[in-house]
Amino acid sequence: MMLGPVVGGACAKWAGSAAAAFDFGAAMILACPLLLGDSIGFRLMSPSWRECPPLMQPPLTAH
Amino acid sequence: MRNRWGILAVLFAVRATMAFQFQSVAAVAPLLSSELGVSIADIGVLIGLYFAPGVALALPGGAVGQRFGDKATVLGALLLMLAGSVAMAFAASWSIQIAGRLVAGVGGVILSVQLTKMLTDWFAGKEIATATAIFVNSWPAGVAISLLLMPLIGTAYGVGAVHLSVAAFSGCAIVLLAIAYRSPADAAVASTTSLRLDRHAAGLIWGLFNVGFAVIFSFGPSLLVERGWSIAAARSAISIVLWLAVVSVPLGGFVADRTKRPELVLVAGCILLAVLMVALPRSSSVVSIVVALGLISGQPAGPIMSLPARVPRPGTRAIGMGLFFTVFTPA
Repeated sequence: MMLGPVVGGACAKWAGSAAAAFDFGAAMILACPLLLGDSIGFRLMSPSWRECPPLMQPPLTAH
Repeated sequence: MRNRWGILAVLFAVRATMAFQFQSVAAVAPLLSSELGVSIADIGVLIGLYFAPGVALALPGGAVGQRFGDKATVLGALLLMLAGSVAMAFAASWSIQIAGRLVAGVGGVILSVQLTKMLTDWFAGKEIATATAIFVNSWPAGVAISLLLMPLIGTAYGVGAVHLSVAAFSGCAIVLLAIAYRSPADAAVASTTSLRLDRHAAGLIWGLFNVGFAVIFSFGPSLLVERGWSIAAARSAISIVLWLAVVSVPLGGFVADRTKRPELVLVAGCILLAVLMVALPRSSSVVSIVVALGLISGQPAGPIMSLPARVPRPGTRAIGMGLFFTVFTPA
């Protein structure tokens, strides 16, 4: 919440309209699912994740 | 208290104290300016200082919580908030006002990190998205109470009384937490959904979402004024988003828990919200889009805030929450 309004304001000033700040805000919102997808994709591509997901690991002792 | 919804009510009230304290300066800005002889720019600095410690102290705050325990850490954070307010109440100089605000901000950062961790301990693997969505609403609730009460107190008794009343709220939160909160017998383990995410990504997603959401309130009135609306009408129209978000935030969490697809609610909500934000400056159906913004904008909040809960080991949560807030704060 520190940088966002500053950058949004700079966009609006540069374009001469508050609409530019809205476009900037929309881009930030759209980045959320992209970041989520990227993070999930990264984990699924990781060999350790693919071979043995942490939640499915067997107990270390089989007693 | 053993009921997790009762615990949620306690955590909600304690977190609202932080929002109450944050907003107290802005709520009496004109009074503060005239009493201390400072400019509105100085007041802006004083407001922003509250979050400044978050960048550096969120992560150590999580470590402190892990070292000393949840309850003791939150009580310590509330004491810092109380001390900061008392210092500001009796400060004659501007530098002590700043020091008091920073001390209160340090307490607020630790409080924020630790309360989120405590909520996760109680709700992870259960109704985590619903609980976090309700928990998130404690911020606007605290701000609203502050906006309602602080100008009345400030006008009647002066700025010192405003800070003392904030200190009194912090004191009440200390008593409430000390009496009503206890840690769960066994901290809940992670959600059983397939999605796991590191805290950097979760913090960044929450930060980016808040940036986009803040644009609506920061620039929405200006946008409508550019299009010929009066200032009062523009502010009223944009405030509809906030009022509807109070309902749509918990609703989004509830839908995420019921469907067990929080990631779907997150993705769909964000895409729809972005489309509406692009449409608002370009459409003549302003009121319809503003209403739709209010209904959609709250949907992803609960699912996003529940992302950091997706860590299997409760022992690492305090540090993880600190990492989450370290990444979120600068955004």
